[in-house]
Parts: sequence; structure tokens; C-alpha cells
Amino acid sequence: MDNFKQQFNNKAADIRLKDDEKSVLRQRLLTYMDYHPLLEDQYLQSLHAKRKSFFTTTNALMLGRVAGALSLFFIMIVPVLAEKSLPGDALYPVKISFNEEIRGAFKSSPYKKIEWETERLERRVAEAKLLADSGRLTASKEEEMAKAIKQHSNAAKDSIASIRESDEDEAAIAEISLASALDISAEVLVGNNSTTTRASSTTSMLAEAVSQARASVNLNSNETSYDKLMARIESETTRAYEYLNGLGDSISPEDKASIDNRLSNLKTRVNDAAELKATDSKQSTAILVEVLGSVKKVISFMTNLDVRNNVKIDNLVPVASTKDEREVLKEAFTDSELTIGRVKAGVTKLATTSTNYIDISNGIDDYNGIHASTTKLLDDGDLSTLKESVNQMVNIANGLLNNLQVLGIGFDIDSQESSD
Amino acid sequence: MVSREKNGQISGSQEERFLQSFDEYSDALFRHAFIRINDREKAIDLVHDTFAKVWTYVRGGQEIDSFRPFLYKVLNNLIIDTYRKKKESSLDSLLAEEGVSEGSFDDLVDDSVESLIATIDGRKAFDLLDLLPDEYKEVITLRFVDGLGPKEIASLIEETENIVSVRLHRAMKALKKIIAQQEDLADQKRQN
Repeated sequence: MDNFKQQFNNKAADIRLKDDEKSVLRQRLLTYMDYHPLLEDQYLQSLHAKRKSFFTTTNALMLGRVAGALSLFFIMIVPVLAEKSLPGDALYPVKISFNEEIRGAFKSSPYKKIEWETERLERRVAEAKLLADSGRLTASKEEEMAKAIKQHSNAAKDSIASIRESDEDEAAIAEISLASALDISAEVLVGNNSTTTRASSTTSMLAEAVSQARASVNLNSNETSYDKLMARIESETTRAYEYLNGLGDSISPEDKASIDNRLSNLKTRVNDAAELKATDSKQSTAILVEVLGSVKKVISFMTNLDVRNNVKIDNLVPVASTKDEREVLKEAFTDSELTIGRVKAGVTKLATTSTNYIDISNGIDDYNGIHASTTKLLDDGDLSTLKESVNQMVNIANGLLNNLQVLGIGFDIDSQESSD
Repeated sequence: MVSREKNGQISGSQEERFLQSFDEYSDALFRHAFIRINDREKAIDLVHDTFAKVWTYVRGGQEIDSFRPFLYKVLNNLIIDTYRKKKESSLDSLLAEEGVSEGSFDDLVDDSVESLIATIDGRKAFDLLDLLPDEYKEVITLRFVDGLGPKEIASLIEETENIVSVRLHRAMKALKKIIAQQEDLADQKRQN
């Protein structure tokens, strides 16, 4: 019998879930749990059950009314009031130690826990901003909040580490989300929006805490699977467009156009990454990591009023260069060089003492100055600066050529060029 | 934090215990499902549906003392549902079609399960499991793959212990017969 069992079991033991199947299955289950969380009122129900037995031995009616009113006050009203509190307020400890801890306890998966710790970090930054703006941010409060920011970012990193044990891709993606949130918080604290009063000097300790937390998040694109990144970018971009369409009049047309422009730019960069995959997969994945972080920032800009009021989208998500845009600018750059060549040839036809000669020569000097700085930007410089510089070069070159033609020597230039 | 106490019970939140049960039993449940339905993707789906149903039970506030029998029970019901959908017929008619009758305890007189399996090659038996009706495959899998005793199997499939023992005995006899037929066929092929 033992022989049969052993033979039978040896065959059966070969049947098992592969590691990736198990990981996907676990993920599916966690997602199911996220969408079907434990009922939140279970906690309250259990409290109610405990109190019930106590009431049976006392004057239940009277005590029940008093306790009910007190319970309502402490369980329902105080936490609601506490949500609006800031450091230094009497109810702030309730917000931190009760409200947030209870909400955190109901976050069922490591992913939810990371999101929650990130949100807590953003809440601390928002509180600091409000205190700073009202002149109530003292050094001790700032120190306390810097400590809290560090705690929340460490808690998020711990959860990421626990995910990494079973799924490196998801951990890497969670890290991208955390890095984006920290970038946004840094922007909010540094405050690049000139339309609001900034309090950067009073929040330097917090900015330092956020900066340190950000520095410790290592975005290693080598760890992340190309397909998973693509899938996540697809779902996040869809979400971003849904938010954009749902914003209505709550956002200015300029901001809306700017967001739309950024999302289009990110889409083009995804296409660039797809093309690059065959020849340079590392660079391709690095682009996707950056794009995912940017999409998250755009979503945060749309959904978080505090971010929208304090940060410029240009600073949060600069329009990055895409292969096509850069190529077009390079072509315009080369065209302007040809044009200025014709101008240089044409200006020799003018008397060196004439005003026209001097004006056009000055124009050529201007062009040369911009040309030198623009050349450095061509391959990997900031796209918007490159665009501005190339436009200037094209305008100057075309303007000078036009002036020569008005002076009646355009035909001579073309003749000379063709004879060359 | 989940920890195992001296009496073997697991302490910790329901959610932690649930996820720990996934880590402990997902492979075994998958193995069971795969042997029964012989479809890898479907078996994975069944394991997922099993845990999803158990989670629904947990989130409804129900306490589960021991996850293992509960998980097997849910999985077994899901497998039976799969068969029902597949065959578009009831279990009773399925039994009739396959010629599986519950028999009686007298069947055990001829030879015991132990003496029967002493004469069967476990590897061949495993490979030929698919040729058995599911009711036989079910008890053999539960007994020899999942290691459940007749009492546990009886509780799981909601039959008496006697019926389980008879069914197991008949299953082994059928398996032995199939192996013999396969060997005869192989001999004939060799001779030809």
C-alpha cells in the first residue's frame, strides 16, 4: 500500500502552480479583496455587542440615552471635526491617532497600505502649507511634521519591500507612485507658483525631509517588466483622460489645454519607447518609468486642489522631448543655417559703410550668439528652450533674408548660390 | 501578525489568516482541481473562485476555525458545478450513464482496498485516472492525493462513511481493470 501511495504521490507532486501563476492568482485575489473589503461596521458592531451586555444589568434606558449621545459625539462628531484640525489644535491628536489609524487598519492589501501612507504624507504637507500660509508654523511643529513625513514614507517603503518578496514588478510600480507623490510634495513645499504667496523659507525642514525620502526611493527601471509598465500606463492614462473630461469648468481652459498637451506628449513618448524596445530595451523601459511617474503627477494635479493651487503644471510635468518633435526642430535649425548662409553671401553686396550693412551684420551677430547656445541643446537639451531658440533663429534668418530681398539683391544671392 | 498556537489553531486577523491559507493550500487545491478536470487554466480559475467565495464568507463576519476543510468543500462543490454544466445533466443521471452504483458494504468482502492497491502500480494508476468516472476520481484524489481519511471524505462529499469506502473500493477495482486492459492492448500491439 505504501508503495502505491508513494508512486501515486510522486506523480501528483509534479502538479503544482508555477511561481508566476501563483503570483498572478494571489494578485487577482488581492484585487478581489480590495473591491470586496471587510465590512467597516464590523468594528462598531462588536463594540455595540460588548456594551449591550453591560446595559442589561443597569438602567439601560437612561444610560443608553446618555451613552448613546456621548458615543455619537465621540465616535461620529469628534472624528469629523478632527479632520479639519491642524497641528496645535486640540483635536489634532484625534485626527492622527484615531481617524487615520482606524482608516489605515481597514487597508487590506500592501498596495492599499502604500496608497494610504502616501496620502498621509500628502496630508502632512498640506497641513504644513496651511500653517505656513497663516504664519503658525513654528520650528517645533515643523520638526514634528518632518518626523511624521519620514515615518509615513518609511511605512510605505516597508510595504513596498513586502510586495517585492512576491512580485518585483508590482513593487517597482509602487515605488514609481511613491516617487511621484514625493516629487509633488516637494513641488508644493518649494512652491513654484508665482500666483500664490510662498512660504518656502519656513518649510525648508519639511522640504528637506521630503527630499531625503525621495532620494531614498530608487527607481530602478531594470527591475520592471516592459509589459507591466505598458499595461499600467494604459490604465492610468485612461483614468487621466476620464478625469480631464470630468473636470468641466472647475479648471481654466489654459490648464485644461496644458494637461491635454502633456498627455499627448506622454503618449508620443510611449510610442518612442515602443520603437526603442528592440534596439535599447533598457532606455525604452527607463522612458516608460518616467512616463508612468508623469501620468501620476498629471492625475494628482487634476484631482488635488492643493496641488493645483500651489504648483504649476509646467514645473510638475515639463513637456519632455519626443523623437519626432526634436527631429522637426533639428530640421528647422539646419534650414535657418542655410538661410543665414545666403544672408551672409548677400550682405557682401552692400557697402560696408551703409546703414543696411550695419543692421544686417548686427542681425547676423545676434543669430550667431543664439546659434552657439542652441547647438548645445540639440540632442538632449530642454525641449521648450530648444523650441524657443530655434524659433528665434528662424525668425532672425528669415527676417534678414527678407530685408536683403527688399533691397533688391535676393536674386543675386540665389544666382550666387546656384553658381557655387 | 499571524502565529500558530500550541493547539494548532492560527491566531491573527481573519484577513491575515485568509491570506495565509492561500499560501498554504493554493498548490494543493490546484493539484486537486487539475486532476479532477484536467484543464490547467480552468483549475486556476476554480482555485480563485474558491478563495473568492471563502473571502465573501469571511467578510460577511463569519468565523472560520479551520480553513482547509472549508476550502476543499467549496472547491469540490465548484468542480461538481463544472461537471454539471459540462454534461448538462444531473449527478444522478451522470452516475447512471457512467454505470456507477453505490453498491453495498458486501462489495468489500472480496478483497479490501489495501489488498487491491498492493497489486496496482501507482504511476500507471495516476496516468489512467482520467478514464474513470468523476465520482471515482473524486474519492481516489481525496484519499491518495489530498490524504483525507474516509470520515473526512464522507463529510466533504456529504455521503456516509460506508458509501465512501464502497466507492473507493469500486474505484480501485475499476482502475485495476483499466490497467489490465491497457496492458493487454499493449501486449497485442507488441505481438502484431
